[in-house]
Amino acid sequence: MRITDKGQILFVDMKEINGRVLTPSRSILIFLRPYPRYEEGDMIAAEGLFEQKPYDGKTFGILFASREEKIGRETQHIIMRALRKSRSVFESNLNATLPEPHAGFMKGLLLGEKTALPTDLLEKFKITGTSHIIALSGYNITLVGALLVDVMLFLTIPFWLTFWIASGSIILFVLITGVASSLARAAIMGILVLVAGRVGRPYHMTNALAFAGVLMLAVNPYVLRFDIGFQLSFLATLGLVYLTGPVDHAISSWIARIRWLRGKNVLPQKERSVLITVKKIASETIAAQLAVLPLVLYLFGGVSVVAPVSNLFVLALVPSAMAMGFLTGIAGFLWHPLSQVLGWGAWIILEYELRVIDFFAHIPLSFISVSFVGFIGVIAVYTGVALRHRIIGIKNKTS
Amino acid sequence: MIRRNIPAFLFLFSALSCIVIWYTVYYYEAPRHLAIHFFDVGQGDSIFLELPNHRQVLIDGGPTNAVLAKLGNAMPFWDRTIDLVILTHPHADHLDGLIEVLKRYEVGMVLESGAAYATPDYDEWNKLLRTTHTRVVYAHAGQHIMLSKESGFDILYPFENAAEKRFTNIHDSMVVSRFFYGSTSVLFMGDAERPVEYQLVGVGAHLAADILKAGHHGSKTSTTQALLDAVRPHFSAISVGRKNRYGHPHQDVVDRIAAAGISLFRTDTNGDIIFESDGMRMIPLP
Repeated sequence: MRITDKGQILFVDMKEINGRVLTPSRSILIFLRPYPRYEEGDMIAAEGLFEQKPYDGKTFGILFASREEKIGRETQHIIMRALRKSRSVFESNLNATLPEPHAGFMKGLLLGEKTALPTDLLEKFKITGTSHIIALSGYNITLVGALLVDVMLFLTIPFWLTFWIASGSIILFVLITGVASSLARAAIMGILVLVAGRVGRPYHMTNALAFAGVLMLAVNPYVLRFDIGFQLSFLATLGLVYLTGPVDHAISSWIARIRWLRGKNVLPQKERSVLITVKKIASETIAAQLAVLPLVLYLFGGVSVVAPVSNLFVLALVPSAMAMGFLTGIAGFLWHPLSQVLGWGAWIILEYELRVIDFFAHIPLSFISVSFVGFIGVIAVYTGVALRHRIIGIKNKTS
Repeated sequence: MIRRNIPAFLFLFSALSCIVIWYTVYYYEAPRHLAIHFFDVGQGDSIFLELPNHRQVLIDGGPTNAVLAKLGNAMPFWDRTIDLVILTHPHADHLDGLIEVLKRYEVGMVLESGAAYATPDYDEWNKLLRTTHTRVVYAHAGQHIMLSKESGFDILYPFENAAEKRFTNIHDSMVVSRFFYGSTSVLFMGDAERPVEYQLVGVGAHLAADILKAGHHGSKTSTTQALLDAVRPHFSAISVGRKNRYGHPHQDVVDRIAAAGISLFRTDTNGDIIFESDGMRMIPLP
């Protein structure tokens, strides 16, 4: 279920209609008024106007409830109940410490939840090409994990303990926030990084991505077609893995071609390392953007021109924002004032993000609409790229 | 990562601390005026007042949670308290946003009529008031709520305590109040309709004000000529949603206000409306 500005929306599996059993079951939406609030596990009888129309491509129909009544409660497993409860407390901890739209933004970052965000902010995300930060990415979870490990090692906590605490927090995080598809993939990859560090084997993002993808599709094959978050972040990670090298190379040769830099390759060590870091972020961003470009054109009807630059500023602090938000939410379980102080830290980072996004959204011509990319076109482009890559791969092997 | 970059982290930390400290200093030391925000929250009312002594008042919450982002913008980020919340009446377009406000902010006192009204929204509100142990005061004419030496609310309606009473039209239990700061003032009509207006004019209530918050989103049931003559405002504000299905505000009301030489501000065309007062003069901010 989901709570929006206009009321509550229930997602229901319809198993039977007019005494006829439906196989497979169809999913329908039930629109309810905002109050009284129902919780997951409530059994509800509703009547109202039923309209048979598709929604999101996977829904059979919508029931606009004119009257509804709670008729009981499903008995839940005690662990499930505890998890649901802790998720809602986690959310209200964030709500109690952060003002809006920061609280909604944080819930978007941590839980991948878009409903709490004002529409004008979502529009700005789109214009600046930063919508993907709301769809949890594996990369960010990896960074949050790494950040936790760093902090704990800095506090001279032994590595084996650090490993278990970090893995434990990621798992706890997934359990608390509910297993969204993007989050599940993110967590699988994040934990693999930690495991790789522990058993001393190098972490291959390709392997981790394939492993996470296969595992998730095995559990629920539908995400492949219907989960935009899955599609986008899978492609973005793919781009990160395969395109970062070539893009980085291109940027390097481009820099080398700039005249005033020529012969100045003897930069001091420190400045060069900063330059290399900036170059790395830039090429990673461009690689990810390139990989999702066709799909983004198809889904959002346009492309953000400022995306490579705005992402440079936005992404730098996303992992810290997530880590701060997670700590704020967790601290709320223990002691409210602690959670409040951490919340101020989270607020500063989020305020920075919001201002950067606002700044880039106001640059004229930052978003260009494209309307001629069809579904077939998208598939053709990706198939072409994959085939080309495959052929080159085979050629490289034979030669 | 952290161990290697300690200077960088220290620098970042001190830079951020500087920003926060100066922000706080400027917030508290700036010469302050009274600020009145008529929030644009769609078809519904939500008005926020912040006094020079940092007392904060919220009148109604609008139909959705949109009020939260408006508050987040109007209040400093560390501030999680609101001193006074006034619920003019329990209709959803005034109440629903307040429910989430009550969940997230510490509210010093709630002022409402307390009239009996059976909706799921109002039940939820009452339940929340009990669980949060919020102080509730039932409004009636003659009450004065002082917010500083020179500012406060005079409650003008209902004439007697309406708690637990039933009304065929809940608009007849409206909490009508006149806010004053120095010699400037605002009349908040809520959704009051013609009968309430006539009663207020009839008993000779102190209605004169610089700003009139026109009743019932500018509906033709409200803002009678008699009321305009008694209030004689410079400005009038109407809280109303874009392209709302009720056709508010009604053209007759808009014409009456224009004919009286009052400048009209509407949340559907002006967005958020902000007025400031130094205690001598009320000024609309562009």
